[in-house]
Amino acid sequence: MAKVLNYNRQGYKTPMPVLDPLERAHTFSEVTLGYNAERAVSEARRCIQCSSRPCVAGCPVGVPIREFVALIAQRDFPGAYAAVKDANALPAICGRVCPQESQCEGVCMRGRKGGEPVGIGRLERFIADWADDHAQEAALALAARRAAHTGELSETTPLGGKAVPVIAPGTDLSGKRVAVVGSGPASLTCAGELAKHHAAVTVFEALHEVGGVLTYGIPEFRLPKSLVAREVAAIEALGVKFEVNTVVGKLFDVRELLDERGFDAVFVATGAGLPSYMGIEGEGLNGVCVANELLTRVNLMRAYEFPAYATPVHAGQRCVVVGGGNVAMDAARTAKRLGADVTVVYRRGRSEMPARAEEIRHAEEEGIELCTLTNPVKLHGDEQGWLTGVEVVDMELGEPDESGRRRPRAVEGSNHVIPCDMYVIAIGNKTNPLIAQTTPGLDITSRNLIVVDEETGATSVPGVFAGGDAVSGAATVILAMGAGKRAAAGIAAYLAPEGPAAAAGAEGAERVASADELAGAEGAAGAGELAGAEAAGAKDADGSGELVGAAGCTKRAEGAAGAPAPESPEHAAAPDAVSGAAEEEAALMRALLQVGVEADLAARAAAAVMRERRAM
Amino acid sequence: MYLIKSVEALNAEVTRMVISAPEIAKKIKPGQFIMLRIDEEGERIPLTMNAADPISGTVTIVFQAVGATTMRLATLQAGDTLLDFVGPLGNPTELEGARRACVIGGGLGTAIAYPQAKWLHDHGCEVDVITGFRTKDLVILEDEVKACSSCSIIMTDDGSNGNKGVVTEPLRRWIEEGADYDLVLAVGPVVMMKFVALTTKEFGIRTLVSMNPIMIDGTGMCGGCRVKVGDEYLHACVDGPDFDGHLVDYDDAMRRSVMYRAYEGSAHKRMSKRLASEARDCDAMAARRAAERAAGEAAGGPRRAARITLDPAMEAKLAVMDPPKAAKVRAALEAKAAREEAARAASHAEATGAGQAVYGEGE
Repeated sequence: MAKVLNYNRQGYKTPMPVLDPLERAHTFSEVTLGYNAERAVSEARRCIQCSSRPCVAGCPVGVPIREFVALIAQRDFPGAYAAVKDANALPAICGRVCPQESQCEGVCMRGRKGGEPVGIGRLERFIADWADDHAQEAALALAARRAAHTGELSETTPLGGKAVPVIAPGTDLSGKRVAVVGSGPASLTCAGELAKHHAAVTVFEALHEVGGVLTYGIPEFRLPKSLVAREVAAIEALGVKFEVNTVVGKLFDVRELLDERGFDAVFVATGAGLPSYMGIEGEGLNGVCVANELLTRVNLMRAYEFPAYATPVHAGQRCVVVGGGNVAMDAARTAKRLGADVTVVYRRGRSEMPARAEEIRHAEEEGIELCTLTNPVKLHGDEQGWLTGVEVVDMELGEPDESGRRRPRAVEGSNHVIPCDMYVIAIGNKTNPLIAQTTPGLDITSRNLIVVDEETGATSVPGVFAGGDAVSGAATVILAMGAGKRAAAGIAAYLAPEGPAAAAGAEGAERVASADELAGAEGAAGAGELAGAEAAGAKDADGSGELVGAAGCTKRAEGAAGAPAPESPEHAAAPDAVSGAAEEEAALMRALLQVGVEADLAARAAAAVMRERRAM
Repeated sequence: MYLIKSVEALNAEVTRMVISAPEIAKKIKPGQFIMLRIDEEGERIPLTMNAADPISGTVTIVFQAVGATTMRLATLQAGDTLLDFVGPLGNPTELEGARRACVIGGGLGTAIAYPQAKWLHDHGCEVDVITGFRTKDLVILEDEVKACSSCSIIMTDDGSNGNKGVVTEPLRRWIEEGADYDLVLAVGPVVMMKFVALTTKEFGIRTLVSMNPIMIDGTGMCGGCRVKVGDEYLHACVDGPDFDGHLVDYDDAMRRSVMYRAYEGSAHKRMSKRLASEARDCDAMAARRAAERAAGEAAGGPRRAARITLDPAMEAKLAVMDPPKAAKVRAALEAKAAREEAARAASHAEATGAGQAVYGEGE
C-alpha cells in the first residue's frame, strides 16, 4: 500500500462530536455524530501503514483495514467504501457497535507505540455514512472492485492470523435455494454473501421485524433503527427474501425446510436470546426485569413513545442494573432516558468490564453511577410484592480464573442495601433450545450451543450450517458476522463442490441468455443518455460504441476502478485486462443506474455480464 | 397481513374471531398460543387458540375485551386485517394417555379448555367438564362443551343459573363419588387454578394448569413471562404455557400479574375515550349520511339521525354493573354499533353510488 506522505503525528484520536450528555440523557437520538470528511482524512493520516497490518488479523471478517484507511487518507472515498463493503456487509453497524478496542484498534501498531490507536471504527462508520449520501458513486466503486477481485489479494490476508474464508470468486449458485433461520448479523451476512453469488436465499424471522439483536437489542441512541433498515434493504436488493412472523422449529422445522420446502441448505443463526437469572431471592418481585425485556419493550415495541405506541415500560425512579457488558450499559442508559437515576452494579473491577470502553464512558458522562466490586445477594420487597431495594456485598479480587480475569470474592459482613424500585438483570444470555430440540441428529454442547466445524460452519446434520451466538454463546455483532461469512463459504462449497468453473459451466447456457438481455438493455440506455459524451481514453473492449463512450465519460468510475490498484505491489499482478473490464463494468452499471435500476442490483447485473464476457 | 374471516360476540365482553392463517392452522395444537399485533403501534398480545381448521386454513381465537388492545380488537370486523399473527407458540398440552379426565374452565378459560376437552373426547378419553362464570349472562360455549363431555356442569358466582358456587365444589364431589380421574386440566383465573390444584393435590391427581402471564415476544427472549415452578423460574412461552399445577407458585404469579396494572388502567381509560369518540364520529357521520340520503330523496329537510341504542337486555346488564365499568362497556358497544351502522351506511352509499365510503379505515 502506498505510504501516506503527510503523516499525522497526533498522539490521540481525532475527536468525534457527540450530543451533549445533559441533552442526550433525555432523548433516544443517536449519541455519537460521526466524523466529517476533514476529520476522517485527518484521522486516517494517523495510520502509519505498517507492513505487518495486525489490524486485519484483529478483524473477525477480515476487512482490509490498512488499505481502506490509506484510501480515506488519499480522499478516495468511493475506493475506501468499496474496500470495506466488499469484506463487510454491514459497515455502518460495525463502525458503531464493534468492540474495536479489543479487535483492530487493540492491536494497532500506532496504539502499541504509545498514544491512541487509529480510530478505525470511526473511520469505518464515516465511510459507510458517506456512502449513504453518495449512493451511486459508492455502488460504482463497489461494482468495480468486485469485478476486479482486488479484495482477494494479500491485503485481506492477515499476517500471523487465519484468513476469513470467502466464497471462491466466480462461484455461481444460481438455482440453489438456501434458508436462513434468524435475521441477525450472522444471518444478514450469510444471506448477503450467498445472494452475491446468485443463490436464492430466504430469511425466516420469528419476530415481526428483521434485524435480530440489531433491532430488539441495541438501542436507538447507539444504533439508529433507520440504519438497520437501510442495511437490510441493501441485502434485500441483492435478491434476498425476508419472511417475518415465522418461528422455525414451531411453524416448520429444519427437516421440513430441507425435505418438503425444497431448500438445498439451511443456515441456523438463532442467537442467544434466553435470559439468565442470578437465582437470588426476590427475582419475582415487581420492578425486577431482565435487560432483554426492557430493551425489547423499548427498541422493538417503542415503549418510550407510550402511549402513541401501545406497549408500556416500567420506569422506576431509582434503577439498579446488574452486569458489566454492553447489554448492561444499554439497559442502564435506556433506564436513564426513561427518567430513572441509574446505578450499575458489577462484581469485578472497572477494567474487567466487558462492555465497549466508549459505552462505559458515555454512560458515566450521562450521570450513571458505576458501582464496581459489588454483587447483589438479595432483593427486598414490600408486602404487595414491589421491589424496594437491593442488598449487595462488596467484593475483592482474588486469583485469576480460567477466563484470565481475577476471581471476585465476597467481603464478609459488608452487606448493605441500595434502595431502588427498578432492577434490571443483565448478566448474560443463554441460547434458545428450539432448533436443537426440533432437529434430530443435531449435536449440541451441554450449554445448548450448536456444534459446528470451525472452518465451514457445518453441523452434524448434512446441509445444515450454523453460526453466531447460537454457536459461540453470547458474543459480538462482528463475531457473528464472521461466522456468517465463514458459513456462507461453507455452504457455497457444499452446494457447488466442483468449484467455481464447474458450477459456472453447468449454468452456462442460462447465463448467456441473461447476459444478452442485459447487453441489450444497457445499449439502449447508453445510446439515449450518453450520446455525445466524449469517448477519449476509453479502452475498446468487445463492447458497443455507446458503451465505450460511457466508459470514457465516467471519470469517477474510471478513478474508482483504478484507485485500489496504482502503486500497490500487491495489485501490480492484476492484469490490464481486468482493470479494463472493471472500467467497462462500471460504465455498464452507470448505464443501468440511469435507467432507474437499484444500485445493488445494477452492480450484480453488471458483474454478471462481465463474468460472462470473460468466460467467452 | 392476516385477514379476519368472521367475528362473533359470544357475550357482552367475549368475542370469537376467525383468522385466516393457513400455515399456523396446519400446525397448531390444543394448548398452544399465537401472538398478534393489530397495527404498527400495537402491542403484541398472546392468545391461546380456541380452534383451528387446516382445511379452510383458519385459526379461531376467543378473547375478552379487558385491556386497551383487546377492546380495540373487539371493534374489528370481518374483512379487516391484523398486521402480525405468529404461531404456533408454546407447547401443546400433554393430553396423550389420559383415560378419564376432568377439564375445568373459568370464564374466558372455557374457550381454551374447550379444544382440549374436545381432543380428549375425540381420542377416546372420558371427559367431564366444569365451567365457572360470574353470572349466567357470561356463559359461553355451553353447547360445544356439552357435545364433547360425558358430564358437564356450569357454576356461577351469583347463582343466577341455579348453580351457585365455585368450580372446586363439583370437582371434589365427583372425585369423592368415585370418578377416578388420571388428569385434571384447569384453565382460567390464577386464583381458580390455585384452588383446583389444592383440591387435586389431596387426591394425588395429575393436574395441568395453563398460565397466561405478561408476555412480549413469546419466543423465550424477554423473560417477562417467567413463572415460578418449584424452585425455579420457567418461561410460559417456551416451557409452558401448561405447568404441573402442584408446583406452580400461584401467589407469585398473581403478584407479578399486577406489574403493569397502572399502565393498563391508563391505556384502558384512553382506549375507552378513543372508542367513544370514534363512536361519536361514526355517529355524526352516519347522521350526515342519513341526512344527505334524505335530502337526495327530496323528502324535505334533514331528518334527525337515529341515536345508537342498545337493546333492553344489555341496558339491564349495564345497570347492574358498577358505573365506571358500565360506562366502558357501553363505550365499546357504542363504538361497535356505530361502526356497524357506518359500514351499513357506507355500503348503501356505495350501492347507490352516492359518494365514497370513508368508514372503517382505522385511524
